[in-house]
Amino acid sequence: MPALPLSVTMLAVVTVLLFLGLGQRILDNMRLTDRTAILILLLMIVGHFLPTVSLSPYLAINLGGFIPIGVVVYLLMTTSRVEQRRAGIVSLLTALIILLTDKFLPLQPGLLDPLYSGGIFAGLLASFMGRSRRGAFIAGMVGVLAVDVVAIAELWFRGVKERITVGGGGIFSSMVISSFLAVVVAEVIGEVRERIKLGGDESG
Amino acid sequence: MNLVRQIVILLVCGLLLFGPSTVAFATEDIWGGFLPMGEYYTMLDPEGNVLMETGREIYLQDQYLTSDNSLYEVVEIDEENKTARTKLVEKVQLEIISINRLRQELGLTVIEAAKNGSKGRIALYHTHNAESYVPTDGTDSIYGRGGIHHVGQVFADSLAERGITVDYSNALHLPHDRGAYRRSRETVLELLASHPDAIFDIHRDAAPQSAYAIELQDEWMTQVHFVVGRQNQNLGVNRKYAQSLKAIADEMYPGLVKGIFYGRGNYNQDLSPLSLLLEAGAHTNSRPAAERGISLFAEVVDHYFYGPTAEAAGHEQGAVASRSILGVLGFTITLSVVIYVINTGGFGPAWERATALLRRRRLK
Repeated sequence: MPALPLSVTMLAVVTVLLFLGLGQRILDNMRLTDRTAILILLLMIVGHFLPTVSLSPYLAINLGGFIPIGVVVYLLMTTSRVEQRRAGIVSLLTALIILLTDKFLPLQPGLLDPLYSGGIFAGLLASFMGRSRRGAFIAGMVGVLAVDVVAIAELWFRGVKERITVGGGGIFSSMVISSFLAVVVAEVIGEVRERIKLGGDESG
Repeated sequence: MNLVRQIVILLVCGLLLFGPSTVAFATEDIWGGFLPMGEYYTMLDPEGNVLMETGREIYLQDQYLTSDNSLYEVVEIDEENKTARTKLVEKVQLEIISINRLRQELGLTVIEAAKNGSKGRIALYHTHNAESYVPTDGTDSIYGRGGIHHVGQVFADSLAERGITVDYSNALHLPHDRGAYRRSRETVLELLASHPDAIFDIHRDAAPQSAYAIELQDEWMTQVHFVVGRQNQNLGVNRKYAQSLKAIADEMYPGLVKGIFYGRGNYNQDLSPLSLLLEAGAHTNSRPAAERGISLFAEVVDHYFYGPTAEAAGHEQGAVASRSILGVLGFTITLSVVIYVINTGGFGPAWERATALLRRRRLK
């Protein structure tokens, strides 16, 4: 039996669950239809298998990496100007915090694993600056991408001419994990706040 | 304050922070993350004897399996003196679990068993490319490919000499900060695309020279230290794998494997079981000593994966497939329940709705 990447298997399972109507609340909060969400997930699965193309001795692009970036662009284009600006601010703040924690926290990933920190920060920031799940998803991805761009700039500034691959890693890359984790964090915070508010209204 | 002004202020802050910081990082590692050179964490047993010295941060509940197979767990941390006190958990009887038996225990993914008599593929990479050996390289860190890459190359060559196909990635994951693990994740995913039998992330530690120096086969060399991340779903398999490798090494070259550190963290070991982080000596050891140690370790790896202890498991592939399907089903059911609960707004409403649905079905 051919080995299927675990990430693809899990993403396929999530797609099936959405097809069956689960996750409706999360999609409603992101203002996405079932169809759009399933299409996005299917594209991400396909993107996992796309190759890396060399553009120069120093730059290569993994075609699959364009898909999550394309998703972010789609989410930005289909929202209001206010939401766009808010998402931009949250993304910038997320990137700043990731950069600071990368530099200040210990080298080893024991405390606040660098794989998850981007998603957690993005989810927290998006929750407290507009409660936007969509913004959380965007910030989770763009924040991590921005920090990687800074890292590339640092390498080039220091004269390390290394071939950079952009967009590699597929579905389980840190960018994609950050974005999904950010939505989960924002959703949990949103639900808790609603519960507290409802509880206050009932007793009030 | 209106939103446009907020954006402008934040953009300016971003430029002020990103801009100079990029220059600062480019000129020196002003915020290096490991303990400063010369400082180490010391792990002590209940009697106060030194178990391990390392530049790695130690946290509560971290565990350490010593060279004589005593398992300790950290119960107290003294940040000021950089010491960690432990309690003895148990004396472990190491069991060699064959690679194919380990594969059978892997639930979610279906993995083809190794064919009899053929040698497979091992993947190597370095998350911390800059790590170097002071006596040989003149510094503990080289911005670029440090001394650790020479050690990695020796490991790759030693494996290749034994007929193993080696995927050795020299990819850089700089800057040398904790973000390197996020960057090296992409490398791991690229390496895993060719389905290696195992993957190693090769590092060197920061410790006194004596912490890793050992005389084996009338030569001074460095020991090899295993690091297993506790915060990923492959901990169980990786623990057995690391212990099996150590058991083989203890038989072939007693003392070569210094111990196994079960530390807090992911180390990208969630991406694949049979993923280990190796510490090949410390910055205070000479690089040739580290190369000798890792070269012997290549023999251990060959013996474990492709030697007499690797059993044929072709006839058991059906069992692996069944377990994989069960694993996926289990994951699906768990995720469905979680999403259903979130959807309905809590456990209470979810239970009420579910019971109401069941009642309606019974009436029909």
